[in-house]
Amino acid sequence: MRKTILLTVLLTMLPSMLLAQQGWKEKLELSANISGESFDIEFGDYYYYAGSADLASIYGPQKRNISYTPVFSLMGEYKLKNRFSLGLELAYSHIGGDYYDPFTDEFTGVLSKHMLAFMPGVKYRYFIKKYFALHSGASAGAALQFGKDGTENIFDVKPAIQVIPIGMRVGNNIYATLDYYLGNVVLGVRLGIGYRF
Amino acid sequence: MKRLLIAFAITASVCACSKQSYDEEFTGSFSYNTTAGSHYLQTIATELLVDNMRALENALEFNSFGSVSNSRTSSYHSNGKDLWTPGAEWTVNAVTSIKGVKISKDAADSTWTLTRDADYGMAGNVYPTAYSITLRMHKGENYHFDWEVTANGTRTESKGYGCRFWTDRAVNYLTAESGYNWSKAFGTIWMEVNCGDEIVDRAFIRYNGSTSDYRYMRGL
Repeated sequence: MRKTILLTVLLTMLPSMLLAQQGWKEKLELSANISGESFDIEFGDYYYYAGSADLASIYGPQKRNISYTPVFSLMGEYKLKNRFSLGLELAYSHIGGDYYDPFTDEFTGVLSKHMLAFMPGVKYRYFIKKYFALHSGASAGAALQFGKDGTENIFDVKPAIQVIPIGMRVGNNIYATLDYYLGNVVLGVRLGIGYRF
Repeated sequence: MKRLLIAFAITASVCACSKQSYDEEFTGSFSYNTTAGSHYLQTIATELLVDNMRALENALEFNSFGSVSNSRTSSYHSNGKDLWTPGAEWTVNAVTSIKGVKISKDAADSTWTLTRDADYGMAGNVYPTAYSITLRMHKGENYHFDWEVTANGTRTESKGYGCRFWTDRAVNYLTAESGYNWSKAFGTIWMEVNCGDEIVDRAFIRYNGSTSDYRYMRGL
């Protein structure tokens, strides 16, 4: 497994070793992003299959009209060297729904859970051209959850961990990003638009 | 370049404006509770009771021949007495999901009692489950019998929920070694569900001849 990962990293870095580098001089970047949610933090308690249900899911309050927003985030980055940058991402998402009594079918309460994550991270660009760059990165921080869950107010803090196996950036001072995220806040593709100062 | 950026902006805007709903994949419909509730009681019948019947049938076969044809019968420990002798007590690891189940014989009849107090997985959910199941043998061949079943047990699950279950009477016939399906089922399994100290439901499933022919009721 380790050999496979090492080989993959070396192969992906090869182009950057062979091609001339063209970086940019601006140090600060700010981007706005949108992405899909990871089930881990937001949905862990809300998802059941009837065939494998336990008693809590059968006899606990029933959730309906579940809806959720994508994860919106703002990310600031500071370039340390040509390839490395430090970043801070602030992400937000919301899940909502209604609670019903499992026996009388009466409305009993509202589910409205907000998630706010603060995630410092690092990014490494291994292929840099004037209008195009490939990067990988990782971030770790905390995710706050707050809101109302039925009749209870909720406040919870969980670790937030994200890895970007691969991402790309297109543009110059104004740029667009397309990243693939693995983590418990964002899972899947993240799109963004940013500006370099 | 401009076109690319515009395409990105449009895609992001569309995503931002969409609020996704996955209602059907979550709990919620009123019928969900009924379906899941009957599934739960069915699982007691088709997994817990059947696992114990398999363990006893394999133990009886092992008792007679010293080996069994079923590959799942890996290990047996007995107190030295023949399983048909009153006072016999065996610990059986024949069925993986109920390793360590105790089989005891109290009287000179065709009845055995199986007891276990440990984690048990039902429909993928593993929780502490304690039970005592009495199996009375009726006719059968090739170590597959009709069994008269009496079960009494408790299960402790998450978020304070738990249940007590018991049977009036049930008869089972194991059709094949590989399948262990109930082709014949009569009788009632009751369940009382609690959340903490509060009883939240009483329910039953009553079989009228097979596992697909049943009546389920809750809110009793």
